[in-house]
Amino acid sequence: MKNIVLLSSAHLHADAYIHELSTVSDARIVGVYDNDPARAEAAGTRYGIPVFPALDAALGASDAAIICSENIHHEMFALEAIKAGKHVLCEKPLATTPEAALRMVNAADTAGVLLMTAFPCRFSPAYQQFKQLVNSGAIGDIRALRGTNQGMCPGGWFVQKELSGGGAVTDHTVHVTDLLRDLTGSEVESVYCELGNGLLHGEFEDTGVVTLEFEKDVFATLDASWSRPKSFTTWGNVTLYAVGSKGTLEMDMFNQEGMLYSDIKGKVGVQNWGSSIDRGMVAAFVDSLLSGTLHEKAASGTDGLRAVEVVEAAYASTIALQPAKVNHRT
Amino acid sequence: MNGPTLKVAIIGAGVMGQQHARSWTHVPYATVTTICDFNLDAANKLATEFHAAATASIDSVLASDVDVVSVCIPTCFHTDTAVKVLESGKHLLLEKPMALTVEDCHTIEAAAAASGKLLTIGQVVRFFPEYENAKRAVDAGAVGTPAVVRCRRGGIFPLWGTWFHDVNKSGGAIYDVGIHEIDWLLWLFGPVERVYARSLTESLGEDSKQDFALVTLRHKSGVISHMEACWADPVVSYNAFEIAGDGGLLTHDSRNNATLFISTAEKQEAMSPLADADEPYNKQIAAFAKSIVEGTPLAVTGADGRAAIAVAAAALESSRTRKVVTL
Repeated sequence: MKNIVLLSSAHLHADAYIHELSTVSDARIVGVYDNDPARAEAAGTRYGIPVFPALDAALGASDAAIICSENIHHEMFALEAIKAGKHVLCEKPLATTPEAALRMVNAADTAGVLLMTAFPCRFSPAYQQFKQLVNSGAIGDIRALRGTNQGMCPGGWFVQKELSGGGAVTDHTVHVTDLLRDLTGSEVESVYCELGNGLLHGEFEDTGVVTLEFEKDVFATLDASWSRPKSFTTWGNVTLYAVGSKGTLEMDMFNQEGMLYSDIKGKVGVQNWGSSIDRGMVAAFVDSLLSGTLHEKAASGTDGLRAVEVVEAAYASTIALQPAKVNHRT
Repeated sequence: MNGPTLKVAIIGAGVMGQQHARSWTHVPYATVTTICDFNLDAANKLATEFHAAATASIDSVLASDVDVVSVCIPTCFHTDTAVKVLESGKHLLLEKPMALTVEDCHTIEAAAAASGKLLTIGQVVRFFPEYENAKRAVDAGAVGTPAVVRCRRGGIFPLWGTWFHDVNKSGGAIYDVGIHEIDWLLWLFGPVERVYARSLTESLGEDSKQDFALVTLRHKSGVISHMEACWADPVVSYNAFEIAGDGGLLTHDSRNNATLFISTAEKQEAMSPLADADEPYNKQIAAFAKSIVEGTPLAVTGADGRAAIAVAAAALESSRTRKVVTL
């Protein structure tokens, strides 16, 4: 039985991870620690789990940690957990700078613990089949890709740069970037991004259209915008479209849903009945803890770092107004 | 005979020429009198359908008494033919894309100005009801101030032509299908400041009849638009757009729009019929006829056609150089 502690529930994905952990045998959630005591209490009540008053006590009681803090605190939590010899599953983006992400990766390597980046989209059955179809040559050689990860603005700390590191481009570039890296088996060479704040007019970008050039002869764009309005039917989407030499392949990852027209809520919404991607990811984390090696489908710390490097280049291109080379750290 | 009459010639009896001929017959005071194609068999076939004369000679069209000419020939021949048609004193409906270069567009516009005849470009998407509706909705503030836009014109590779795979003749997918989206984006969101694009156009050719382009535009208004021009879907394709503003989101996906669906052992097909008067090509030609006989403003001018070509040219240059091109 592996004991897992939740380090902060600032990120709303904590709800799903805790829920999915409860469905996995061989692991249990032992409690929550948060740098915000009120949020810790709320999470403890919501999940029905103990609240640790101190980080060292939380780490002392566990084999591994799931970090769902504000982006800016990922590094601190991860380095503390790694120092205590604990394995880590860290919410994306892995860090707010490539340097911080690299410190996390290096610390885990040195300590001999696992560092996994929370990229649950890798575990989507639709994506798994997409990848299998591509690898089987069903559409020939991949020549170009187009992705979206459009969503509603999550608000809260996500729009406070001192906590999030950035707006929509920070939040939504990394998932599709990770899928594209995984799919092509190739690193991103250069990035161009157009961004703006025309949707919410805040001190953060809420739109971002990113073009990626891969080391392999493939290009892609992805739309990271928080362009789903409050009145939209659901939180957002993850889509991929591949142009191969023999055909095309399109994925709409969460399009397994019924429509609910609710007079009670006064809103049109969706009821998704697809397989939980979070369940697959959490189960893979627990598998990794049991086996001592990262699950084959899981995103490593280095995968998390590579995505953060792409975000860095995206922002750099908006200053230069030309594509920016991705600076790969080793 | 009372009232206006328009004698119409069609130059180019291919897919678009046939479409233009059909749409001209919906204009009550217009008659298609001549079909011209260097392939006389093709001209004859279409001429028979419309009880018109067939010819393989453009010069005979120029020398004739037709009032207006629809030019529906490969893009690389647009400039020379357009100039000749205008110089001969005919009004001109020139299929999109207007020409392969901005300089050529200027040449065509100059010929129109010198002749005093009307020039319009077949940017027919402005007449598609879903795209026209978007223009009305955006202008009325339905999405507030627009911020980020996506649009896609999908398609199978146009195997009905023998010239589309030659980028020097067609310009590839950006010029041939993307030009519709570019024109529509300019119409709704105004001039473009800079362009970044990636495409498969460089490898387009006899051995690679496939093109795909992803183009990001930054409009002077600040709007970001992402345009996709596709010649890569093998059998069926679709068109889509979405406009996100600070007050809402307007979406369209042609896969969701069907008022009819037939399913038999032979075929499954979704259909979305419109009244004749609302059919986009009919509307385009009716509007041009009205401009000719009543002097109403042109829906699409030569300058509009040229503005779209300038963006298409910038996109192609960006894709080739992998640099942002500022207009």
